Amino acid sequence: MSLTIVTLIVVLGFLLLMVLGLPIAFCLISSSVIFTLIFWKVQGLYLIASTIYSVSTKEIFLAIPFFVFLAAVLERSGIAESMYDMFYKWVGHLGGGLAIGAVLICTIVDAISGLGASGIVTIGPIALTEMFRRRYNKHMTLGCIAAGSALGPIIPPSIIMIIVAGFTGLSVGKLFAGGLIPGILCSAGFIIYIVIKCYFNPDMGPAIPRDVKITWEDKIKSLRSVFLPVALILFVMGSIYTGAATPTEGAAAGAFGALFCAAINRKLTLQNLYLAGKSSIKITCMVMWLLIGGSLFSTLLNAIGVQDALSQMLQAIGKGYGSMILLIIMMLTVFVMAMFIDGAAITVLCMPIFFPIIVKAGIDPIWFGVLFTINVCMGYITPPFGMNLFYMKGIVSSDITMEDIYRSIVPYVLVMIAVLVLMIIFPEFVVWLPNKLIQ
Amino acid sequence: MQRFIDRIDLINKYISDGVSFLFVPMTLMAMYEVVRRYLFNSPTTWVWDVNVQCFCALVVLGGAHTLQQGGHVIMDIVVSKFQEKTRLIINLCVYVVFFFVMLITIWQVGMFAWDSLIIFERASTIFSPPVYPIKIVILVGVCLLFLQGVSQFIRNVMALRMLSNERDNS
Repeated sequence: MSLTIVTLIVVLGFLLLMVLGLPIAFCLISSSVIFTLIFWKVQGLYLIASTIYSVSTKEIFLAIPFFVFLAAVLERSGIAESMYDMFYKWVGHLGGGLAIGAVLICTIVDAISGLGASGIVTIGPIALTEMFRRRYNKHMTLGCIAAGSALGPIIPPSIIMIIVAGFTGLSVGKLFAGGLIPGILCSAGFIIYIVIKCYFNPDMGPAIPRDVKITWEDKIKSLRSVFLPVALILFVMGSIYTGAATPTEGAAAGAFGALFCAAINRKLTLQNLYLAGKSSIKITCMVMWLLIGGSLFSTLLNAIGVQDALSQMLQAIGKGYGSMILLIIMMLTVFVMAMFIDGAAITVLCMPIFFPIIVKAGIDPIWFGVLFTINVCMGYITPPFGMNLFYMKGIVSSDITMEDIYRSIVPYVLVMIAVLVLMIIFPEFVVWLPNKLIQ
Repeated sequence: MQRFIDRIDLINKYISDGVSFLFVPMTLMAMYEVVRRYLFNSPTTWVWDVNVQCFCALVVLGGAHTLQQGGHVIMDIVVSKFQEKTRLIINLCVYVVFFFVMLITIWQVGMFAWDSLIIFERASTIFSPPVYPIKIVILVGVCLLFLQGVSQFIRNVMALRMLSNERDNS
């Protein structure tokens, strides 16, 4: 049987299982097992057990449960409430000030957490109530929170980048550093959009009236609330960038820091720990079983030569039209996939196939890894199946429809696309910092 | 039957809740190691070995309850468009594939654990902890996952039967 037909059967078989609604992790495992039996040899099945073992004991992936746990503790640590209070006092009197505050807090939360929805669960409920009370336009309110927290995996730390590193052998520290500038640019882009929009339509985000007097003393006092989160960020990222700690150790230190913050805010109760553990194990298992499935599937694809066939096809395109076209095709593929499936799943599916081609085409792998991550994050807020949009739906009152949420997010997606294009045109934005920080 | 599947769900819930308490000790151990290494310059030999095994247990033992909670990523755009009956039937077929694959997985993981057990395998690190217990835990984990699949399957059959009963009555 020719390789093309085998490739086609394997890909279609996997797609069929996925479309029929088997969890993607088990689609990957199932198609690996079935196609190993058909196209390879029975001895190949041995890989199932060894892959489960090797993936779930890999040191770099050990960072994942720590980052997940960190985020879960952070949600319940009371940090976000006091930060929100601070931004209310400092920027509340500006047009759209509360929305700007929400984006800024999301950015800070993103810099602590590596997940894509931490911002929503952490500050979403308070920020929403307050903005609706101040008669903010609903599209303004919904969009800024969903988009702000989608930056989680771009602004380091990032679970997506850890997965990328796990599959490609790139340096996690370099990927993290590469994500910093694009992440901040996205966040700045969101804020500029809010400022402009509210300047021309003051109804979108009415300023808090001047008669609510906030003294300077109050303002200065409220600054205390950012101290803990900023210390936490410096602690975690500082230790990773300076090379003092491995990403896994940094993650563990961060989780410890989050527990410490919760203790200071008197939120470190058994109940909170239980809830944090419960939600962490669900996310950890979700991601890890995807990784197990993904590793297994990519090993199979390699063994029967499908990966080579796909690589050759894409390489032919690269030779014919230049590596830029190749990159754009990959980015579009990811963008479309991200509308429908979760980011971790896309990474697991695409990275093993894309990465060897990227290296052969002479494209900077760190640059590609960061672009890929930005694209995957955009998937958190692109309709119809952006995960963050559903998280938003979960915390708003029932009179807000899914359509409202879809409409609210469009401008932010456009901002992210603009940043992505900027990063493609000027790779220096991405690669400058990693090369500067880590030799 | 109802009692049987309720029991499976409950066992998996308890196990998942149980291992979720590992997060705190794992964090504390890792922090202890970081402090020992960077402040006192005397790293421990055992922390990462223990942590890695905790991590493995977390992943394999939590998987079943995650399945029950619908926590694994699913692409259901197409399936959700169908009528309920069609959807349930499709689901049953998908689970048949799942069972076949899980049985092979159990067989393979069983052999993997057995090979490790008969030589009392140890890790190749300095601390060199025994690794056969964790491989047996993986076996338990995939068995639980299989059982959870059975529970989901039976639930599906029951829902299907209820649906056709309603149709007969009306």
